Amino acid sequence: MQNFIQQVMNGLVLGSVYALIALGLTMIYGVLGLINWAHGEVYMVGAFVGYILAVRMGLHYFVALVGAMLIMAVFGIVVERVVFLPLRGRPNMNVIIGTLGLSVFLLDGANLTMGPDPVRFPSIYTDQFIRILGISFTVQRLLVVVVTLVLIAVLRLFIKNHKLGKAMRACSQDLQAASLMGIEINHVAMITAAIAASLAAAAGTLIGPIFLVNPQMSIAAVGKAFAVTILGGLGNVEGAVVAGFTLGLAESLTVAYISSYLKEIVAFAILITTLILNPEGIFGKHSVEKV
Amino acid sequence: MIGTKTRALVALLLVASVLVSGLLVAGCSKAEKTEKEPIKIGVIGPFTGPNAKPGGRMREGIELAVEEINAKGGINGRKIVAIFEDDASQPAQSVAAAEKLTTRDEVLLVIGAYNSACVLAHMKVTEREKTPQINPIAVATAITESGNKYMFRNCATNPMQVSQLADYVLKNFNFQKFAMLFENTDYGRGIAEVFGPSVKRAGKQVVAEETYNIGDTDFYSQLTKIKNLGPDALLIGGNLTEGSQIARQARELGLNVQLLGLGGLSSPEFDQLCDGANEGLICTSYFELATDDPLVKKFVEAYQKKFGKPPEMFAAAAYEAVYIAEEAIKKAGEHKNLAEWRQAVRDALANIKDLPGVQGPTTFDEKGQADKKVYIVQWKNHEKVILYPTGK
Amino acid sequence: MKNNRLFKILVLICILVAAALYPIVVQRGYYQHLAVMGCIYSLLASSLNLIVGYTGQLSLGHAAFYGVGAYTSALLTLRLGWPVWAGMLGATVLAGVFGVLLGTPTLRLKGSYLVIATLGFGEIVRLVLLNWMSLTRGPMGLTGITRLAPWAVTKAHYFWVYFPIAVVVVMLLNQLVNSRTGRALKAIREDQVAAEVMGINLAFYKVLAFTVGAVIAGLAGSLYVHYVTFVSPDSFPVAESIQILVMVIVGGMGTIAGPIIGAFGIVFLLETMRALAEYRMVIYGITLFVVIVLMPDGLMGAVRRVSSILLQRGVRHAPAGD
Repeated sequence: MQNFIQQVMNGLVLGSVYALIALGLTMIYGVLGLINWAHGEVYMVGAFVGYILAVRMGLHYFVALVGAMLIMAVFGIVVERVVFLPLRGRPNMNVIIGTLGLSVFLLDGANLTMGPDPVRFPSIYTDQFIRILGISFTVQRLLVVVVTLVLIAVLRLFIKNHKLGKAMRACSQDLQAASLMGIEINHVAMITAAIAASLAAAAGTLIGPIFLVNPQMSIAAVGKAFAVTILGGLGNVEGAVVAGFTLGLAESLTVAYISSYLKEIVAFAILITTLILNPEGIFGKHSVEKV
Repeated sequence: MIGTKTRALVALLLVASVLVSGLLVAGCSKAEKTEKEPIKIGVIGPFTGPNAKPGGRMREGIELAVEEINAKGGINGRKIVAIFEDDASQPAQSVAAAEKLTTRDEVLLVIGAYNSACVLAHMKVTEREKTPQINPIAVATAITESGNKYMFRNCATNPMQVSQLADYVLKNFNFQKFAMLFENTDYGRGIAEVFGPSVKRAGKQVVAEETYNIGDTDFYSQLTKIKNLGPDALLIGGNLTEGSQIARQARELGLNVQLLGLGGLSSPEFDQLCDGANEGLICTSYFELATDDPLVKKFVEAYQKKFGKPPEMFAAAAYEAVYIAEEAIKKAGEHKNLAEWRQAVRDALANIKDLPGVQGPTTFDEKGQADKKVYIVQWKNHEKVILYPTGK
Repeated sequence: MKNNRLFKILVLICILVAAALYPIVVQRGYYQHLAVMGCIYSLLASSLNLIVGYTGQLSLGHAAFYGVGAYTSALLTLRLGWPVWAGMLGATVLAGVFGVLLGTPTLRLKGSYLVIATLGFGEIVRLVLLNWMSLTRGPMGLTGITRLAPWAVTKAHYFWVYFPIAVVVVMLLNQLVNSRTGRALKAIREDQVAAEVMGINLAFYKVLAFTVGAVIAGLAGSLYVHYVTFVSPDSFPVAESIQILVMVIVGGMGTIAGPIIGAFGIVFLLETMRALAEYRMVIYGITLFVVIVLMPDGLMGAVRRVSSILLQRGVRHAPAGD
């Protein structure tokens, strides 16, 4: 039982990160209709920004967290203007190659400026332990889960109630109609990119102290984020959250009760099964193709 | 016919560009060699990726040795240059690197690499090109057991180290249950395959054998499983990036057992990344600063001066490899033909006897393996205490 | 018409002669190595082009077929002692089976869903290769794989074998896309619904495209292992699939010459860019983005547009299939 609870806790931590990264990916798809292949790199850059603020500049961890989210929001807007805008409405192939160019640029840019070595990103919460019911974790791990849940709740409120949030939903249903209704699509696009990048920065800054920070961290993250996005349904915000936690738990329990060999396969097995059985994701409904 | 001319134009362009580029490349490659061209040494190592840190130290050791040798006037009146190729710890990239060094750069000799899997992959290339190779770090047994006549290794192999560690631990501690968490590679498996049987032969138990892949970051799941099996000691069969995470996460989970490790876990980088979680960890080490050997003292001083920090084992091993290469190249003499020169260097390497070095004297056996000692050390308050050999 | 045909044959002969002379003129082993890799990537890019460029099914799982071919050929020759040609045959057959395996369940998927499904397929194949220790030796890879033939010692020998193979395969592909089948594929690319209404069996032709593409990629994998004589799962990551796709798109998809120009171009470009040292990949990233924004239909598309402006002709809209 102890083992089970500990593994569930481990799974929740992994799931939080998957959910935060996947949220950005799914929002950009929902609103702009494009898949950002550089989203893993945005997460990595966010982790480095958090690291610079907290470790190199010595700011308090929470200040660094908020600072990284704000800086990356601006970064997201720049990316939207420079990269997404020229690709908007282009065929899928062009979007893939274009955002891939961005991903190569960011990954090797980070290698160049920050160096390829992994760095420690200590936070005050990595050395505080919580030990209850025979299970054990650091405060930082608890923080990951709590902050993730708070961010998700805020995002949900924003999308449901705020004017811009409503505009985002309108755009994700029908971009053309939304535009005809007088919604300023450029604003919505920029806001979406900003939110996506700042959620990725939150994920990076939260997870940095638990693991290490290095440019390569983007590569593993992006595959998982795709699996989560598909499982939750492309463009589906609630779906991404549920799917993120589902994958985290599935991975952790696989190691616990089956084998550590299978850990990495879980994500892609879920991905393929979902696509074959119900491509619209767990919450999706079948849509009839119109001529 | 719309497009006939267009197509004709495109096709002509194509053919012309193929021919022109071919001639251009040919022109470059036909450049005459000048008399005192420097001697080229190829180095393969992980300068990016998960082992970028030890790879960097390896590079520094080589840079220092090359600088020293050139300051003395080089070898047989020629300067030497080291050409570094990154393999990012990936076997396929390592093969490409070896391919480039031996056939494009036409190096005389190759030093490298860091990961056993990479050396096992690219040693077929150096063997095919009949290029001698000195391997200062990768420890898998198979490297010198495959009958490759061009491979030489100046460090202790996996079994040599692991059985020494196992013997020491079994003799000095009364541990009953052992757990192993190792990297899913030749290196990690090689460790588990020697350590497990040693433990069992001594009548003790191996309660867990868990694996991970290079680049993994989260080990909570494996460690939770291990914790529940209640071992007395945990052997980390991996490199420092993942090793440090395992040590930290073990501490976070309250897995308070004796940690054991090999090679890489005795480096200062490991200590830094661990942030104190390595306290009490026992591991093997090829190189320690605290000895009286004048060669070591000179090396430590020069390294400290050049890089502003004390050297560690990978720097020492790579540094030593360059000096072994120097000796062999000196003995081999001058050859006009690269293939003959490489062969002469190989033969000179095979005949090296008791060459002094910072890791102790080097003599290669008929398989190209040098008989090297290892230390057994324990981390205490960010310093290493030498447990074996005692009296040092 | 006659002149046109004659000219084509002339060009082909020129290319063949230039290729035959290349390893003699260019003595440096490394440039010969790049040329051999160029042949292998030409096969990969041309076969992906059949799926992406002619049938319009965007796939990011091509490295999986490449990997299946490579491992099949390696294992058949290494473990069962089959001759190399039999290993190659086995590689193409098994890769073809995988083509059916990917093509069939993904029939319903379109656009981004198809892209991600094929990406997942590629990752699963790689992870199985990585973790099926008893068969593949996992991350350690397989070493000591049989060389192409006892006489194939230098890279030039490989080039002289691989280049003609690439030429023959590309000519066969050219025949295919200009046949009735090819027209059906192009119809699917232009408008699935219209194609179906016209009586084209969507499922059959889509799976056919995936299968033929996979067979050729499997052949490329086999050529690769008998050349490098080493294979490990990290030769086939998603990045490899992406690289092949970049070759197709930058060269110009839906054309025969495009992917070949893309393959040789990118292999040699990345090499030339080594002079830029650590800035190489950063600049490559920017280049990719700029190229795709300025030349959405690749180099072939750009060349066609520029030359039609020069020749004062109207721009043909659809990519030419010849």
